Amino acid sequence: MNDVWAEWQRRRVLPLAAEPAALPDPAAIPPREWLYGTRLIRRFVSVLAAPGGVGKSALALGIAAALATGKGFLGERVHHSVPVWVLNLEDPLEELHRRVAALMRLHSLPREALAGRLYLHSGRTRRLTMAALDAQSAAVAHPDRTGVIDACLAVGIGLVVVDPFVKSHRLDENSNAQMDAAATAWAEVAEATGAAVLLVHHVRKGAAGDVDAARGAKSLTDAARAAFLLSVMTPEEAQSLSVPERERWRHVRLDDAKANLAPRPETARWFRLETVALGNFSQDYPHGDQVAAVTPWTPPSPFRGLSAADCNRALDLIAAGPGAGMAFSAHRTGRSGERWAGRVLVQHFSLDEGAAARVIAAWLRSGLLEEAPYHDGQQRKTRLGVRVIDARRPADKLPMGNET
Amino acid sequence: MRHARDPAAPHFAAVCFGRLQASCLLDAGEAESVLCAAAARAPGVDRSGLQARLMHVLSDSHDHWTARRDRAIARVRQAVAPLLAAWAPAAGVLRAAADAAGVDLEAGEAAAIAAGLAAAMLRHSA
Repeated sequence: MNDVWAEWQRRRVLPLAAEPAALPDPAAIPPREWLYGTRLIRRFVSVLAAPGGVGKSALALGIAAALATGKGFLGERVHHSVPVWVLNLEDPLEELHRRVAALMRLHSLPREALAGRLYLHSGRTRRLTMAALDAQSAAVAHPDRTGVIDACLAVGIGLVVVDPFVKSHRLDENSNAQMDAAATAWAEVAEATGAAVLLVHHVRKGAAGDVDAARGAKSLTDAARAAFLLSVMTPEEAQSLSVPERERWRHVRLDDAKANLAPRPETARWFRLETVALGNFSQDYPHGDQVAAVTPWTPPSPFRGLSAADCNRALDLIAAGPGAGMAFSAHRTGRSGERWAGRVLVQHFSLDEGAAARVIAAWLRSGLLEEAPYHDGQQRKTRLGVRVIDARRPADKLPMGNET
Repeated sequence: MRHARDPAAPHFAAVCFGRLQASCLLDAGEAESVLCAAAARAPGVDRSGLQARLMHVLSDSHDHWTARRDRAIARVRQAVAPLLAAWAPAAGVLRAAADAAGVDLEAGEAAAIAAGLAAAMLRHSA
């Protein structure tokens, strides 16, 4: 009976009344309780969506370990280290142990840093049903909601990772009302426990970069405070970032698909899936297990190996143009492609086309190059070309380490 | 109806047993056997007459308390329903249930009725 009233108090809807705004002093308003970057916040649900096989489980486990240890080894700030409960509803516990071991090995995390801070649950051991249709009443029931809340409160869990969300309920993914009920069950866990909840969710294959592609009803992403998408590097990105095709699958980018509380970042955050040997050799398996673990990755600077003097020499060549009375083009596609300024970098400085394109784009952004019309004497017509703004040239003695 | 020469105690026991029976706290057979035994031991009265009268008293008391309990349960449900519909605090719901029950329900019964209604509402609003 006490359970009924405890649940009643949790779900109780207060009577509606129009209350005048309190208008407190802004300095007196408590700040948002971010836990991890601007991705996870206490008492809110976040969604990590990705197509299958991209590495979302590896990233989710990485975030879990970062929060449990308080170490921002994935490149994002850990505001508060909290105990983390990973509810992996697909894999056996043994597999989770392998993944955690790979992560610990890759990032040199000592056992003591995670002991008593990371809690693992496998859906193979005990299924979890946060929402299901009651066969008799056709209403949505939440058999495990109270149990999850009690378990979180018992050890002070600050982050619950649910991987994948689809295995935590038995509702129709194409029903907005039912998906809302399932997402709300997790939101209630977040509210009742003060923990952040990270729901790991599938998107359709080939639909990376679009939060609306999250499988099933859009209610899930609408119910989440933050949603981010993980997608594997495209061939075009690999070319522009000088990543060999055979290594492309290892590189994944994380984009904010919906940032209600944080400004949308201009640039993607990249991660690399490293293969970690666990060293668990046996007679039958002489090589032991190789397990993927995630680590942050920064695209190599296109200016790598270019000194300020090299840049000025390249700018001299660009200023001189491809021929008498002609100017280089800013674009490598279309009819003007043969006059592309990047060819100077490819031919004289051995940059690949992707890196050359990034250098030209950086120079255009910084105002070192400017696109302007000029009269082509040979063609006897006005064309668009780039000109070098000498006032913005780098000083020869300064290193050209970045692109702005 | 009590005869002038009937002892008071078995009649009083029959009234109590009727109430307990209505509350499902006493089995009918158990109550009757105790009253029959009391009638068999009563001195200076027509024992079979006393036994019949005690059975009547038991039956009347059972009917009386059953009706009172039914009315009390209806009162509790009526008092609690609008509070549950308004998602009132649990303490308020329980207080209203106890007030509506008065002395006609056993201790905890009103709270159990309210909890049953609250559980049904939680199920349907999930």
